[in-house]
Amino acid sequence: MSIISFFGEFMDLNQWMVLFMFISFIVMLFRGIPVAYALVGVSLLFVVINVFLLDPNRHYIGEYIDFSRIRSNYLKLEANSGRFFGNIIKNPVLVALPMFIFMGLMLDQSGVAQRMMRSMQVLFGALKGGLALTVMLIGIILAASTGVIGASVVLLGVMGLPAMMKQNYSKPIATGTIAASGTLGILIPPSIMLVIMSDQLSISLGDLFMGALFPGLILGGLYIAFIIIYGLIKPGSMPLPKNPEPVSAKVLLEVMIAVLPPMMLILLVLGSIFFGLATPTEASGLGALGATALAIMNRRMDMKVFTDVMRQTLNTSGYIVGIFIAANFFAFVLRLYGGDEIIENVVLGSFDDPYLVICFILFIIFCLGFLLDWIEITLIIMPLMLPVILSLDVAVEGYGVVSNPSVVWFAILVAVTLQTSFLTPPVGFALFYLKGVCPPGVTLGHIYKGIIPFVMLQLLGLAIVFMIPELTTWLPAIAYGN
Amino acid sequence: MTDNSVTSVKSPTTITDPGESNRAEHLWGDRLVIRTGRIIAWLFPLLMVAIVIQVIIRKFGFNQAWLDDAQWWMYGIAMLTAFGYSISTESHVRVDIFHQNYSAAKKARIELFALGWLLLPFLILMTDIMTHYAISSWTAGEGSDSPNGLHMLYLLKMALPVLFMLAILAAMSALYRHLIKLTPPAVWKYILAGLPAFIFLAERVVNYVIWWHIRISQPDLSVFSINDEPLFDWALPLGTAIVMAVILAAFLAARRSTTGSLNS
Repeated sequence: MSIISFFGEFMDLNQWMVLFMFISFIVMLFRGIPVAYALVGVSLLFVVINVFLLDPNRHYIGEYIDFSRIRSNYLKLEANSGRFFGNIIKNPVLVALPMFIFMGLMLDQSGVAQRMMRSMQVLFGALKGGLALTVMLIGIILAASTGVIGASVVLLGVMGLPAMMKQNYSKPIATGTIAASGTLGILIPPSIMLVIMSDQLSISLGDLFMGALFPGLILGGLYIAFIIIYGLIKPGSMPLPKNPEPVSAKVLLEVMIAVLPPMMLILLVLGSIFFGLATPTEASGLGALGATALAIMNRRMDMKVFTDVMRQTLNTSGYIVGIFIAANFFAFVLRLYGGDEIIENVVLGSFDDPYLVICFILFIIFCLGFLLDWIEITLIIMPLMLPVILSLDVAVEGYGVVSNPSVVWFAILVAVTLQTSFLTPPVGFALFYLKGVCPPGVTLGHIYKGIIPFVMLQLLGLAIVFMIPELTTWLPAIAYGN
Repeated sequence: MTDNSVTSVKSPTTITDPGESNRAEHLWGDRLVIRTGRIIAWLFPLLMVAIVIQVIIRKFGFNQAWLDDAQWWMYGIAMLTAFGYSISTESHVRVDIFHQNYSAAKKARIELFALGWLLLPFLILMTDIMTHYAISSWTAGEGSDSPNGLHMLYLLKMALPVLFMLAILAAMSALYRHLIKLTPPAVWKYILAGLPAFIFLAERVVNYVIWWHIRISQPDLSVFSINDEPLFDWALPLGTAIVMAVILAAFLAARRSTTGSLNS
């Protein structure tokens, strides 16, 4: 037992076990094992270690390890059934998840984006960077009505990239614009990420939706400002079309007609939440119906589109719920080893100033974003951070309406930080999807170069939200004030 | 502003049927899971309709609690089916910085490890404990939280282990699919590829045999104290021994048949 006492000198055995748990998870991750499988595998491994190695020897190692909390047997695992049922199945808030996925996929098929592209292209034809602006605006409008990013990036890429190449846009700007605008969908409500966050942090989904609206629009505004300014500084990177069509009243009308349907959808979904007419779950159902109606109106609907959207919804729900189930079990096993408290103490002990602690968490999430995607980060890291935020006692104005304003603020901060995780190589959802639709001649180098300014802008947006927490709590307070 | 002008911007096919992406490789197990998924996918439009109907009738002052319950019932069943479906379509999220450069054989080996050693034991565990959960719900006659909600909650709870079994079928089928990429198939290789899962499965079977043995031989013993019997210590060694014996027998049978075919 001298080895144990040797290791016990540095950290107690619980801490070693938690450390090993994360290390073995990361090793498996790098080997390309699906995240959900790796999570459940690591958890099972540590259950086995617990039951067959630690528990029988608890008389010898009891002074080094907090064995009362780790003693376990098969019967204790039965508790996971209730956790699984309560957290994942009997969860009316999460009903919104597949509905928003369905809505986003359906909207991408509905042809509204193509219509907007056609008309807005003409409207901004005489403006430097007009095409990039068009793509950006479509991205923002789609963002406000969908919650899935993969499909949006593919759609914008297939639509916008060839057009921009034809006009001799610089490739980094073109790819960066598409990746960044497609990514906004996950921040601007309704978004499935916010649905999952509200579940993990036990805060109101309505608060989170309303809270994310301003930060999302700020980010969109920064992108637009950047494109306009960049077009003025470096006109060569965004040349004008050869013979732009004149902007007439007819063009304006066409833009209006193209933009109106998605705007109505936004009004339907966000408006019904804002005015308290419907819960977010009900709004998700209405939104799905609205998107279907748009597809029918644009004559894009047939049996194949409908079944494909359904099946793709099933598939997307499947890999999200896979990590849900796995992370739920992982948290269960982590708790057997006291891992939640250990991590809470490590994070809390990192800095004295609560704002520095939050910066520290955000920095870690930013770094994890290079490797992981939002699903893993929100499902594994967020529940561990909740007790930290609650005990930090950061004063955020809730106007007496928003409950747990500091948690809402923190969730939005993480949501903005996670925007970078889509764009940062080597693993980024947006990059992955964009790569798939790139025309020949566009290399990974162009894409990587293109996202740098947008990641900077995202960090700037993060700083703004960090400095002015009221941005996230004012709107929910107005919406639910009376 | 006619529809012709809109469709002249060529509609990109940004969506595909995930179940068809590598259909040529699929075995009957994969197809079964995917077909089930296709049927269950209809729950999404149904869920949409249910939500919309509820919004409308709530406006008119009717509140149907059973419709509330029906929503998360549908959602729950669809989600768990989706879990198995995306095992078959292999769309679970992974970090592919290194993975994308691996050789096909290495990818197949990783998949075998991931499915047989990591995922399958968990699925068996979940099936087992969810079955207990469903049985206790059934014996308690569990109903809805609200008086006019959907009662018979145990029906939903009974569906859950069945759907985990669907996920097991998906994983086992995928395990076989990746095994035949590496070597000619054989029973012993298949069991080795999922060794922890099969040992765990055997342990569970032996465990239940012991349980019923005690239950029948000592009918006056309380149901709750059966699990404290020392006989259960034998479940794991016995289960392991059975799996090892099956591997050995299958190996010998496979060798005999190959040497036999060489001699003839």
